[in-house]
Formats: sequence, structure tokens, C-alpha cells
Amino acid sequence: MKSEIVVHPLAVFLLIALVGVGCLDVAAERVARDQEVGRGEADGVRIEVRNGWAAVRRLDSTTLELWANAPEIQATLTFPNQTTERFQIRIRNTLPDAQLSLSRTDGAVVSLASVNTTIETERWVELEPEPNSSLLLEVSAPDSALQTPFEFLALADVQDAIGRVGQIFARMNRQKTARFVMFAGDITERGQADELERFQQEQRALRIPIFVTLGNHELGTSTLPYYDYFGRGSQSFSFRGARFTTLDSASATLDPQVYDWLDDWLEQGRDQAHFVFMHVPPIDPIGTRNGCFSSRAESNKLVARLARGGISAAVYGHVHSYYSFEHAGIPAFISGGGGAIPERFDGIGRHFLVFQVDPVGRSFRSRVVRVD
Amino acid sequence: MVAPALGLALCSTAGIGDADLAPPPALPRPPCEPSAVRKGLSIGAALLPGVVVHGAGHWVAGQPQTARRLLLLEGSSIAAAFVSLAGLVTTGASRYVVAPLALGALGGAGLFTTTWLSDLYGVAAPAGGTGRPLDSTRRLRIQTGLRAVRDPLFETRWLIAHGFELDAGSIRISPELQVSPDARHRRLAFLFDRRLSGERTDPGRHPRWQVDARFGVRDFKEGNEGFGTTTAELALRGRIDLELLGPTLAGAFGSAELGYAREWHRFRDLPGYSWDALLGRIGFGVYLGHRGDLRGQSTVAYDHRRDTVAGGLHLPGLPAGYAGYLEHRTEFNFHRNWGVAIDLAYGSAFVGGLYLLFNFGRGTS
Repeated sequence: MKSEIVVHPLAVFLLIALVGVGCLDVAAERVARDQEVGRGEADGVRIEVRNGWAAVRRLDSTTLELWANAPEIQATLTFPNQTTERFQIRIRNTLPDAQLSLSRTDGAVVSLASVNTTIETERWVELEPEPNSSLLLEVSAPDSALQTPFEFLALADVQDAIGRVGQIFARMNRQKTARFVMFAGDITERGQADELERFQQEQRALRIPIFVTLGNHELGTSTLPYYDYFGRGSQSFSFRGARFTTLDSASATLDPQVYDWLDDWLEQGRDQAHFVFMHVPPIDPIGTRNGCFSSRAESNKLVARLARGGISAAVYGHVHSYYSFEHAGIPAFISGGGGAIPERFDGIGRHFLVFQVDPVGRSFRSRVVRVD
Repeated sequence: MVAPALGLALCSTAGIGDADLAPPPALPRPPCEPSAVRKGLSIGAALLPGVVVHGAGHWVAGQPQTARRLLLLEGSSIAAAFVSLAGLVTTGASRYVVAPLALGALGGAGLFTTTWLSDLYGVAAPAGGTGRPLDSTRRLRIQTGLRAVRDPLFETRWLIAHGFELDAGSIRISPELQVSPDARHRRLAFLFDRRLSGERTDPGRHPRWQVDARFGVRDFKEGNEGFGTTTAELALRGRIDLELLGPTLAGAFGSAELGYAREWHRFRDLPGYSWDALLGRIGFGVYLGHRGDLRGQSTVAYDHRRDTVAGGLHLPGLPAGYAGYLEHRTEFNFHRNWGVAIDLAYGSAFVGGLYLLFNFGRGTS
């Protein structure tokens, strides 16, 4: 055999594989970002939001602005030696009847002055900060301890239809008893800051908050501004006796760390109605399309965990249509009706889901609401 | 399970199993070997602008006919991929049309890669190519080896792989087992191939192109997580020696597969479910060695499956979830009956395997 240069397939393989090295843990960076959500420090003022349930949108010597990604939040706010006379706290994306309070470490309530806002999902207050003080900030829902039935909505996949999302919000506003919207990813087309900003501007027309996870389209920009605007991709919270868990499946996989978190959240929700939301579904009912996880073994691993964890239902996005099915005995929904290029010939179009939850019976009913 | 099975299939599609193989008829070679300078320029042209204009290397090498054919195939591949991707976008990957459109996109991308690699190979390979198919008979081949697995989501780190390939001329049977040392991860495959068509040559001669039908049944059990999958599949598989496109491509071959699979997933103490899978694979390979026992072949392939140990590629960003995995396999005979093989697979896991091959009924010419 002559010893000349040839295109050896091994070289081709290794070249491609080397380019992709590290892609086994493709979501690792996002797990790190998740863990940083809700923490901030500027001009000596520090904020730490418990469980990362809110993103710090602005923090300086005069203002704290948070974007809530859960119905209730608790945070610790610490002021430095020297403070300004007035300090404003603005919490966005709250329940319309949410109550904002601050207390000192000894339990004494801090006096707050409300700042007028026309947006139902905002709480805006002013206070006179004391130097070297540490305050507990709480946003609470008056009905959070109730175990009575309630309603929430589900939506995903707006992408490049942000300009028309107001129509969906207008239709959602007619669901008078809905408490909030769960959004299963693909808020934007490319995940850029201006798109995220615009979505939040449009969201002012919605009278209830939206709690989100990210989709693969939020990964279209390397700096991932999603975390600065909306908060965590994977998290879990309770509301009125039901548990809501979002998982970051934007890369068609879950990071190993997220599986560990999920095990904890499944255990916490074992006796609750438990709804799990993620963008890319572990399985696509149309298997030849494979709009789902990269590995079928991982699909089964996740589905088995969710089923053994006793969740009530899983809600996915990514596929721009509506599917209702069961996997391993779990009711599952794919609802990508936010306005992105629709799956043709399915007769669905833009839509969202309405869930009526009975926390005591750990049961629910769902229906599709068409927007167009 | 699947990667070695496909490796076996690659061997079969490469014609190793054909009876009474004889050397392929010689095709005309270029009148003279290009100078070292021209060869270097050809390789450079195959890289740039060749990565865009396939056949550029052959133009510089003075092989315009082969260059035109590569360019024509590249154009076809781009057209197929463009039409398919446009169809996928405009229909929103509708359930009613997604399978043919996905195959079109996959085939287009695969053909595009193959024509570029062919251009590069044709100008870089020595005269006569890197080798030619094994010109021997072989009725039974046994493969046994070990696979190392790096998967962040599963505990399995090693798999013992064992299988054989029984070649009865137009029919080939290939059972295979992969099992972890603790037996918690187990993959079984039974593959049956039937030759449908191929270049008519003398009996036993290595056909320069062929089309096979494959029926396969696979079973996978993951004991640590408590689930398993049984798969039934039907596929068409083809292989072509690329020297049919031009003499400089002697020693290289392309392969492709398309098919459908039905999967039945089961869970410990939970209800199961079933769903479909689209099978698609495209590969490029070279034969190694021209005569004697020191012979083999090497391939690189993209496989659209997600149900192997490797899973599908974790593509960052927007295309997440839509790709299968990459696989490389090289096998080399170092003795009349003995050989070794390695395979590497890269998807959501890295998998590397080392195998010992034993061929019954093999003889060299």
C-alpha cells in the first residue's frame, strides 16, 4: 500500500467529533446560569431571591426591579453603610392581587409607600432604607393557602409572532378565573434581548402573570439574555396545593444536574397535583418527525421518572400543533399554539390550554381554546 | 447494539460477504500521475473552493469528466435538500409529509457530503486508490469485542459485544448481543438481509453496486432505569463503488439506507406505548490494501437513528433534537482468517469499540 495522503474516514469522524466535544453536556452552562438567577449586588445593595424565583432586572443604589417567575417570592435585601433617601422596589409579573411586604430581621414590618402603576401585574413601592439593614421581601398571593379548585392556562411557541401575541393575551383575559399562564418555551425567534423585551412589553396587556421556561429558540444567541429577563429554566413551586415544575429541555435533553433537581421536586410533589412543563418533549407522537429528545433511551428514562414520581400531567411545546396522548400512563399534551409557523393540515391553529385543577382530588380537566 | 450491527451491515454492503469474489474490472487510469505540485494544488482546490464547488479538485487535477459528475451530483443534493427543507418549513413539519421531506433533507445533506469527500479522496488518493474490496469468499464471520461508553445520563460504561454474520449468497443473517458486565444493560439484534439487485457480474465477483432489503428485530433492556424497547424495522440499503463515477475514485464507496421502524416501549410497573421511527443512513468509505491478507475498509457515516447506545447528536441551539449520530468503523484483516475492527460513535454519548474478527471460509486471491 502506498503511503500517500488520503481522506481517511477516521480523520473526518475525528474532526467532526472534536468540533463537537463538550456537546455531551450541552446544557451544563445553562444549569450554572439557573443557579445564579435571583442574585445581584450593586452599589453595596445586595439581593438574593429564594430558589431563584425571580430575575433581577435592575439593581442600583436607588432601585430594585425583579421579574417574578413564580406566584410567590421571598428575597433578602441588604443595604450598605450609606444609602439613598428613597429606594424603589418594582416587582413585575406578579399575580394581580399579589401583596408586597418587607420586614426586618426582628419581624417588624417596614413602612412602604405605593407608587402608582396601571399595570395589573406590577407592584411598585418606595421605602426609606436604613443603612446596614437586611430586609425580608415577600410577594404573596392571598389565596396561596387555599386548597380549592383553580384554573391556569398553558401556552408555548410564540417565536416570530410576538407582534400578534396580543390577540392571544386578549383571549386569555376572558378566562376570568385563570390565575396565571405557564409558558413552555420559545418565547422568541432567536432569544435576543430586544425580542425578550418586546414580549414583556406585549405582556403588559395580559392581566395575569406568565411563568416560563425556555425553548430551543431562546438559544439562538450565545449570551442567553433569557436568564436576565425571565429567570430560571428549571424550577419548581407550589400554588394552592398543586406543584408546578419547569424543566429546561431546550437542547432536547436534560442536564444530569436537572435530573437530580427533578428527583427532589418529584418527592416534594408526591402528594400534590403536579404539572411538569418543558419545551422539547421527550417523545413526539409522530416518531418519524422526532421533534423530541435526541436519545430514545433518555426519553424513556425521563418518562419513567415522571410516571414513577406520580405527576398529574406533562405539558410540552416545540411542535406547533396540539396533541393529547399518554406516555407510561401519564397524560401528556403538546401545545405549540403561540403563533409560530403552524403545523399545516391539522386544523388547529393558534390556541392555548385551560386547566382546571382540583388540588384535593389531585385531578384536573383540560380543554383547548382556539384564538383564530 | 445498533452501531456494531450497522458495522456488520457496512461490511456486508461493502461486499465482503459475496461469494467467490474476484477483482473488479480495471478502469482506465489517468494517463500519468500528476506532479507533486499539481497534486498539492488539486488537494487545495478540493478544500477551497471545493468545499462549495464540488469537483474543483478534479478540475485542477485534469479530470473534468469526474469533476462535472461530482458537480452535477452536488447540484442535485442541494436541490433535494433545499426543496425538502422548504417543504418542512412551509408545512410546519406536518405529520402528513414530514417523513419524505426529512428523508429528502437527509439524503441531500448526505449526498452533498459524499461528493465533497469524493472530490477530496480522488485527488489525494494514490493511483489505483487506497485499496480494493476483499477478493475472497467468507461464509461466516464472528465478531467479539468490548465497547466503552461515555454517557452522562446512564451508568453503563462497558458493553461486551458479540455477534456473527452468516452469508448465504443473496441472504445474510446477522444476530448480535451487547451486554454490560452487570447485565443491567442488554441489547439484542437479529438482522436479515436479502439481496434485491446489484450489478450483474461473474458469480461471486464483488458487485460494484447493490441494493438489499433488511428486516430487523431489536430488543433493548435498561435495568437500572426500568425500561426496555423492542423494535421491528424494514429498510432498503444500497452501496456503490464510486469508481463508477470516475477512475480516480477507485477504492472509495458510498452507502445509503432508508426505512421505517416501529418501536414498542415498556416500563417496569408502568403502561408502555409504541411509536414510529424514520431510518436513514448515509456513509462514505474507502477500501484499504490491494492484495494479500492485509486488507480492510474504513467508513464514516451519519445515521438518523436515536435508539442506539450513542443516541442522537446534542446539537446546540436551534436544531436541537433533529439529528442522529455519527459513526466511524475501520476493520482490517491481518491474517487469512483473523482481523480487528474499531468503531467510534458520537451522538448524545461517545462510544468506542474494539473487536476481534474471525472469518470462516475465507481465502485470498
